[in-house]
Amino acid sequence: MIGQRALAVAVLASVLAASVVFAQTASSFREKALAAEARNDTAAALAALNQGLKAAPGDAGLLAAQGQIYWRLLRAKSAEQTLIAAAKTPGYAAEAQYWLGRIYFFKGYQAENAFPGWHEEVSYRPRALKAFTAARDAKPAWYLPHVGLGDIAKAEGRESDAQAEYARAKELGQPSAPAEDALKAADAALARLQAAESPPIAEVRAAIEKRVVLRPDPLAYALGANMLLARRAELPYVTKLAIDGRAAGEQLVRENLSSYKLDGKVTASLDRNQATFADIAGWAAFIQGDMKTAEAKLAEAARLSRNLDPTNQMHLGQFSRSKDDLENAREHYLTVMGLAASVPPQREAAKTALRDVQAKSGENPMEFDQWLAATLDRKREERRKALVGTMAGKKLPPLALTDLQGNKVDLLAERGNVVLLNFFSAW
Amino acid sequence: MKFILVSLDDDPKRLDKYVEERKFAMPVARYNREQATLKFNVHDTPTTYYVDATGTIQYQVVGVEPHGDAVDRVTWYIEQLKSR
Repeated sequence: MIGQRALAVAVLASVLAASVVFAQTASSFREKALAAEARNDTAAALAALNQGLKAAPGDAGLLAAQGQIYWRLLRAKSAEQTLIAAAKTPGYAAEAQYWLGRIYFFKGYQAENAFPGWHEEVSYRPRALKAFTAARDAKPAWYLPHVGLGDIAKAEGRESDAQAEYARAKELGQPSAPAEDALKAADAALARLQAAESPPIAEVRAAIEKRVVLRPDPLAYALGANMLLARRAELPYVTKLAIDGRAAGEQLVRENLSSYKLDGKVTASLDRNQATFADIAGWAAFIQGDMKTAEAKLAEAARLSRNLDPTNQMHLGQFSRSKDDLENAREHYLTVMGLAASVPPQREAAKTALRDVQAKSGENPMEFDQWLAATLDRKREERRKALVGTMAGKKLPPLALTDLQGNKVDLLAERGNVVLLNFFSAW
Repeated sequence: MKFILVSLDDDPKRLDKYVEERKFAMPVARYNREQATLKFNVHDTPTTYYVDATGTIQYQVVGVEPHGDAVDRVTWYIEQLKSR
């Protein structure tokens, strides 16, 4: 009896000891990771967490830290999975729910124009509220859930509710989220440098580096690269920004797929992303005199943007002109003139360049305006003919709907009429 | 000649706001994305079908008007259909 009892105690003690060691291992990896994260060393932070999760699989503290870092990297899907797992352990529920709240807040309130063609998804709004509320209930004395709740109230225009939550957060710690503050400050620093006459290049580069480390979203890479390209500075770094920015954009699109309901939008977003960074890489190569890379990259951007990006078309025009390829230069500048997305300075630059191209081709400068008007008309006509799609020639499928006023809309009943049927979305 | 607008929005509030702003003179109905993809081959919005009087689709135009000649182009398509 006694022997058995002693054995049981000994077994229990060793199990307890093992679990204490287990917990200690996990928490030391967590601390190591969070310390690395605090000094923006993402690679070291993620490495420590992976090591920790090998030693203590499924540890909630490690998962909560990992989810937080994934989210900072805008890897919404990975972050969400990790945080949902972490939220099941009461000790880390508050932390995990807070970061889930941040993800849902972004999707519900901040996603508008976070990437071209992106929009807020209202279905995430109640989820954000639920997550911040769960975080607050799990750890009432923690300030961050109140900041989250305040941010929701503010986004919904409930100003006094927002101020009450921020005030409560301040009593408990501080009235705003450090991660969001850091990002805002980095954005403001970039905007200041962009507006400045001739800011020191080293400062510009440092501000870009800081911003993309804080949150690697593709628009920040593109903005930074364009700031440096405009000054023809730090070109090897611009090339690196083009590579990293493309990867960041692809990851952003894939990890936020719920932002797209139609498959065409996903492909279009990936293409747009790749086109943006191919053009940046191509133009950086052109400025550096690497014509081979410039040609390949600018052509890649043109193919992916289906010749619809005015910036890329301007670059291609200049590239062609530098090779005395007047015919292609002319085509690219004409495209810029025809694109609705071209801004007036681009149109002016394209027109000036065209004048030069025509003069070099031996055309009479007096006839330029007339030639330009006639050519643009002809191009417009060609585009009309080219845009005939895949359903052409088929019968229109039957469809009966009720319009917003409650009247019947029946396609079959429209036989005998010419019909323009337009599918749209309000974004 | 009949214009029919079909919204594929998930969010009726967003649609209401849009319709309120634009004050369309033609009927606006709602339909779901999956069905639009399946039955009408709509993979992106906007997608426009120009249908002649026999109910045959003559043109399918996908995407926003990148060349800024939307009105001219729409007019041209309609003229083509009417002259059939």
